[in-house]
Amino acid sequence: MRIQKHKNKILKKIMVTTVILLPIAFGGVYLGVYFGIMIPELTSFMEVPPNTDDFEPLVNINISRLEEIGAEFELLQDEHLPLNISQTITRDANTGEVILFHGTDNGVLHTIENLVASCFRYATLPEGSEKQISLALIRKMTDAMRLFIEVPNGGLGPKFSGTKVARFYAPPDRWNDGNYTWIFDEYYRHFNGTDGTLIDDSGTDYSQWRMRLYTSKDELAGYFGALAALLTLVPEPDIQEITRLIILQLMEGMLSSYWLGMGDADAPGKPDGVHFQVPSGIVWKLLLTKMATIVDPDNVRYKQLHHYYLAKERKVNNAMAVGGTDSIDNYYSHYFNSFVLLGLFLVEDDQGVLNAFFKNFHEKTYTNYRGHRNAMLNALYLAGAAKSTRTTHFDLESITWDVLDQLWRFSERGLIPFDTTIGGENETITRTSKGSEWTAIDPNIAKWKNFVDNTWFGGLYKWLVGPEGLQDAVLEDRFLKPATVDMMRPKETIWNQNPYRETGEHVYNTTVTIRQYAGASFTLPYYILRYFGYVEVI
Amino acid sequence: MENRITYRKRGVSEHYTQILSIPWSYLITGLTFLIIGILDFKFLGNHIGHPGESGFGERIGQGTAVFLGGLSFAWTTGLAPLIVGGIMIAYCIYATKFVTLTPTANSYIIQEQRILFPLITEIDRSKIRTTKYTNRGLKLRHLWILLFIPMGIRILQYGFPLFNEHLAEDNILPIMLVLTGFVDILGTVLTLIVPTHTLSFQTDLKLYEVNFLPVYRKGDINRTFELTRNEASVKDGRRRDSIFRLIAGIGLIIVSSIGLSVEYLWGTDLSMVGISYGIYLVLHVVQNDSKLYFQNSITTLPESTEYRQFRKISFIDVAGLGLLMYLSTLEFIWGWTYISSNWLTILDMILATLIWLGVLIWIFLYLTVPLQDLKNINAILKRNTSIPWKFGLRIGGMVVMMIFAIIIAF
Repeated sequence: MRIQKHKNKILKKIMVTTVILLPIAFGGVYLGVYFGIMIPELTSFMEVPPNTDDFEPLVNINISRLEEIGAEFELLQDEHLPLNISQTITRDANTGEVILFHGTDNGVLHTIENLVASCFRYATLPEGSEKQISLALIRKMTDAMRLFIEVPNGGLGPKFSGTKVARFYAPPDRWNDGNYTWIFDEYYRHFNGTDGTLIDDSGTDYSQWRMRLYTSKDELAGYFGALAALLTLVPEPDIQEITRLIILQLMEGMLSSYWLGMGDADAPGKPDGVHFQVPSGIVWKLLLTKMATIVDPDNVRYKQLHHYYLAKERKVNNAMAVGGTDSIDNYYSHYFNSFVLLGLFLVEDDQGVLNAFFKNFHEKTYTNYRGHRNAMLNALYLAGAAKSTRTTHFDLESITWDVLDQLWRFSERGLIPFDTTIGGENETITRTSKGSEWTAIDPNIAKWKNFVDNTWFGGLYKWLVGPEGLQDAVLEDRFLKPATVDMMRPKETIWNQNPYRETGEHVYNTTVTIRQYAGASFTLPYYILRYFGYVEVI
Repeated sequence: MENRITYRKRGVSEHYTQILSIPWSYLITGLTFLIIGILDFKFLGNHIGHPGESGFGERIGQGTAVFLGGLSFAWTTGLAPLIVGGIMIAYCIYATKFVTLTPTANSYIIQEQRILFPLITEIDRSKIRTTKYTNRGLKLRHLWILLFIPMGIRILQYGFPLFNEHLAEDNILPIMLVLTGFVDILGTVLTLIVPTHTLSFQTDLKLYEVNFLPVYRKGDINRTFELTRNEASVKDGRRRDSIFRLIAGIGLIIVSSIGLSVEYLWGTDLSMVGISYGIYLVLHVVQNDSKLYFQNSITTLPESTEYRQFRKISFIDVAGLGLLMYLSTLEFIWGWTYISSNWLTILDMILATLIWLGVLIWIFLYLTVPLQDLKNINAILKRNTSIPWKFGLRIGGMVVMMIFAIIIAF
């Protein structure tokens, strides 16, 4: 029996309320200390614009040379596309012959980085032979875009509606090619393609092809971004037709699966966790529906859905947001998500919406990256600024200078081609060689490590930021100055790593082999600036 | 003698009333939740992590939820019913009891014979001012709505589109998702709709309450305590209030269902709030107006002459109305700001605007017009020479939510 004294009713209510509120208040304090004090202290210096004293004076940066470098990388790109997928290559150091095409888990991403750069370049080139060469390169990579979706789904277009996009593919004749035996090996991400003739007469039998699935949102972010670039920057009928069919194929696939990726590693036709619904951000939905309204302008349902996601799902105010912790942890994946935003900047035609996207990016994401000297994210910001009519308190000239300084280091250091010879030096520039201010580590890290290791309350964060924690990178050492291009090891893209952790200590032996990467690290930011008018070539 | 633990029967007389109380609605829901939770883990697997890498549990090829290398769907759909089902069954075992109500010349003896903690309480009859026996009121049980209705609907949203996925070899995943979604929703409704009975005794100093769900009874509680039926439920004002709530509740359920199933009219968040609050309103009406529910009482206290001006609003009312106000206003503003010129979107926004206005008017009336005055909105102004603070507080709350939405929108 429940017995309550009347006179104690209020006191009891207060006590019950307190007991209920205590854990909530504790949770608030716990999260408040993390997100309100610890993370801002650990990241605020990254929000400070870089010191332009470290930059090469603008008068010394030869834009014509940058343009030449862009063209050189474009020519080199052709070597990386044996299957039209951008692959890293290894050369014989003596003969220069390519002896290995490297496999990759991120075939889509590395292809689209180069493809998007090529699209921007194509859009800036005057009519002529160079433009035709550029178009041929784009056609190759567009063919890869087609096969990425066609091999897993058996055909192209909405009849083969699907959400599966392969990370990599290989035709059956590569079975005995040593460069591709890896994808013919049994592995949980490796499958045979789909026999599309069983779905529709217009399908293709890809059952003897191999593909790598279990495709992540990073890959799809890039894939969507590349579709936007093809759609808006390359007005060639054949390319537009392939792009249109891919967009409609994805659109119908996503609608039929309620925006779940269906590439499970264990069983076909089951969700793989790639999930464009809450709690994930749904900015992808905005881009895909917008592109669908462009390629199928008579479809009122697509238009209504785009409006629905924009206004009623309220994503106009939330595309996209990358917080302080993400600028430390998960740097890799959040960098790739930026391709979705780049796509939105390209395809959106409503000035109000563009302004909202730019405002969100400015306030919720870019501020956290302002000091990183990340040329790709800086270029993305400049792209947004060019499309927006909003004023920004960031100095666009200094951001442009930041990008140009980073790109100029490719020239100064001789990083063309972008390979392990590092311009003949075989090693990158180390922080120690640049002086003590380059090796200074953020003192707040030690302070917060001490808090976590030596206080009972701090110990409650070990599951989060401890050595095996969910966000273990938060308390790992970071330098106070971001690394520059000449400190970074060559790779497919150098902009997906935290520059505050780069030591610059990379030494390569290139007497036998040389590993060469495609030039998207240079071409992507450069041609974004070029397209949006921040760089003019005389 | 209050809540003394004893296994001995005391004070039994020939006039006693005995009730076998088993919270069977909790038992059925708990068992169903437990079974569906176990089935989810059996058929959808219990893995966490990437396949081919060290992780937790066994992958059985029914997909992964939330993120690549994430969880099997069982963790996201079956875990909550499994835990809650287990807790409900444990509660049922604890709460199953015989309640014996024995009137003596000077007191009432109330014995609750359960497996653990059998209690006995004796209340002095002369001190009792009011005795009430009712099965009305959702009480804290309405919090189940917040947990299982949005969860069940979300699971159904994922489940239905996965049927006959062209590459899938079976429909195990969508079947389990749809079953789990329906079990979540129906279990919650069953728990809420089956009334718990409360017998209460109010003295000058204390309130004594005993809860039970009778499956068998010997004797008549109303006769034992000389209770008479409270007919307030059929009075005109109350009836109109029920219709008022019912229309709103059904309206919210319909509009939200459209939003959740075909992505039209209302966004997902607003629809989730709408359908949860709509179900709450309907259940509230069922509890107040259905003949299954009653309130019998006897009192020696003078009848209250206080005129109840406003509805008593619960935590769910505050949360539901506040979110409805905020989200619908935000969707209205952004919807028109970013309107695209096609007939389906324009029709969507016209309908959404009408619904938004309807919601605003309904919330205004719900918060500010007394039960008895539904027929005449102006009555409140006539009845009160000055604006009462509660009226101001409620209008103020509405205005704050709207201003908040407008600030966020711009």
